[in-house]
Amino acid sequence: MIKKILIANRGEIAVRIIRACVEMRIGTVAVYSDADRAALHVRMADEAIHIGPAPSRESYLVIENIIRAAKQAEADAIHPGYGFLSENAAFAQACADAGITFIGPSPKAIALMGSKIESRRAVSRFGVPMVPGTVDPVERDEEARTVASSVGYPIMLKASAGGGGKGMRLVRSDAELTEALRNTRAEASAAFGDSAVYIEKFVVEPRHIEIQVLADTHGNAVHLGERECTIQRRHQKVIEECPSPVMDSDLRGRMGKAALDVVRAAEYSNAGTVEFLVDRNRHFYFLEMNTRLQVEHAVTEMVTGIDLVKEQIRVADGEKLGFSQDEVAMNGSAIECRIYAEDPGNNFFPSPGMIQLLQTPSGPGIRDDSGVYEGWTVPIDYDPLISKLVAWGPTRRDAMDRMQRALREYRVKGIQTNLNFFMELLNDSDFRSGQFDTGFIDKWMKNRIAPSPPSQVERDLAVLGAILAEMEKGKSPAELAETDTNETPSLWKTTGRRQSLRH
Amino acid sequence: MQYKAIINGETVDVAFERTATGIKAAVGGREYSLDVSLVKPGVFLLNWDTRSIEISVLPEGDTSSVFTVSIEGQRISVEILDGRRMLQRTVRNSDRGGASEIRSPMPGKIVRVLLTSGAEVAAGQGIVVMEAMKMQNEMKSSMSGRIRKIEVVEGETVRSGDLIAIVEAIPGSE
Repeated sequence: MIKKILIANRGEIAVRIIRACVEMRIGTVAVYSDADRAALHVRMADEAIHIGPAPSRESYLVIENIIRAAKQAEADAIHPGYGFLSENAAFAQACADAGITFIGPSPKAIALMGSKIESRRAVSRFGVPMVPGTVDPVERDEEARTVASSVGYPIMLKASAGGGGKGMRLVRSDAELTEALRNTRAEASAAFGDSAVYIEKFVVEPRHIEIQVLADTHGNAVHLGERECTIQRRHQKVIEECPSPVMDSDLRGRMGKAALDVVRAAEYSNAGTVEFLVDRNRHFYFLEMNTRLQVEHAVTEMVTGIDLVKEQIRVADGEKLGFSQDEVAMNGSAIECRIYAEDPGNNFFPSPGMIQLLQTPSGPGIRDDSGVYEGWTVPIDYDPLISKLVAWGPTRRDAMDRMQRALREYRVKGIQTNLNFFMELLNDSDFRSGQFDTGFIDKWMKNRIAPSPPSQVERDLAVLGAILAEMEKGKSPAELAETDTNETPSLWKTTGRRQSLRH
Repeated sequence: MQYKAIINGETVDVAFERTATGIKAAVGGREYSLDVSLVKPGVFLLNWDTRSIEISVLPEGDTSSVFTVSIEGQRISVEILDGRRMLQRTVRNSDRGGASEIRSPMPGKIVRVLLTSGAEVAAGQGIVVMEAMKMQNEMKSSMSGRIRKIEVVEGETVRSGDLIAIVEAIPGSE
């Protein structure tokens, strides 16, 4: 029986996992770097252990430090979250060696699916459709040229050790190939320490759709439907949905079956995600398997009613899946916006800093998976994701309308966020109709109509607001507390007092 | 009370007077009568005629009287000048005499200093490289001239608004 879990992560996902543990009456151990001493996940956990300086390679990525912390707190299991060490086979093995349950698949399955080439080879034996291309790395330029012309341009060059949208390059013609090979290899070598690249046919106007799977250690596996992840910027997901607007039960059944074939090929257990490209003729191709919980898992939870983190813990504890494929039902529609500390007005430049004001949305169908609080300083050292805002509704349109309503309620001040960017995006007619491909954001950014400037009245009221704030400045907390009482005029009393002191 | 406010580069005169429940004001001659409630520090609820408008107002930096006001999804920067500050501003400008300050727009770390004090710099030329959240960006000079002073060193952590460098015009040149 798992009684205490160490969460080897930070931010919103650490908070998400702690919440599941609390509901299951499992003890929680947070780990934190110098930058995260007072982070929300540390505040929420039963115990917290310092694991190093702010840079993640000296803290959250140091296997020995995490294992040592788990032993110190006598945790019997580790949940890796996503990112950091979650897809690191050596970490899963280190947990096993230390007698600690790793909440995820076996080291062998992680290693297999972590290699683009090995995973394609394993999956091809089960007849899972794949984008035409090489399974093995291309060594010489002539070999690459032969493969490229046989699958036909345009092609994608991909780093074998790449992932997360990094280390790939579109090649439109034979003339571009030599230089592209050189650059991709150099990038792959610098970023991943491995210069191997392979070739895939480039699917035109593709959608990016993934299938959530869940497998126990007794050979039972189910899929929990799809997530639509086509809306991406620089190969990073921005908005995710469940179900996909282009899905029907026939395609879902076929993609679900293919995903479960991947589970069999990898002898996989625990939660995982099989990513596919879907072309405009609704042909689908296996891309890769993510051997961990996804950032966007919440949309699946909202639609299926299944708590994926709790299921992960149960499966890791050796339990059998408590339901069969027939019992998985999808109800309504959910959509997720990734709220980032970044400035869309300045080329999405990160905007770390102190959150001076935070008002989060609530009400029907809204879920805010946040990792921050008012007064918290978003550190410069990590991913700028501050929260995932999820809206559920009986239909896709209801979910979108609720999301817009929630975005209006959401206030984050002191740092820049992409909240307004989502407000605009959710008004777009192509987005609302569900007609889009992975090039959507680039096209939309080019054609988008700049928001109208503030009106005269809005400008005038802003001036008055600034004067009000100027008058409030320099007041002591006690004076401010005084204004919080029901005596509204006290605001003016204290201001008057301060002015009389000044003169 | 009389104020001047700078909004979108434009200066407006404001007559501002408190009432029992709010304010009476004229902004550039346009009259407003509002009820005001303080929701919490930095957040005001304005009742104007029948409209209920919540705004947030946060200072840009610790001591400045420049505020970021968020109203109906719009973000507006407003600087408030009272009599005393209007005077200070004139003095500071004349002292600065054709110099421009490069300030850090966000917290980060200086990874490289590209120029030294006394070096000539062209408008748009990078002065330092700053890293924030795993991205590197050049802080550029807004004018051409000479570097009067570089206030940071490589490896230094800077806060939002910290002075990075001062660029001054070269006398006799345009």
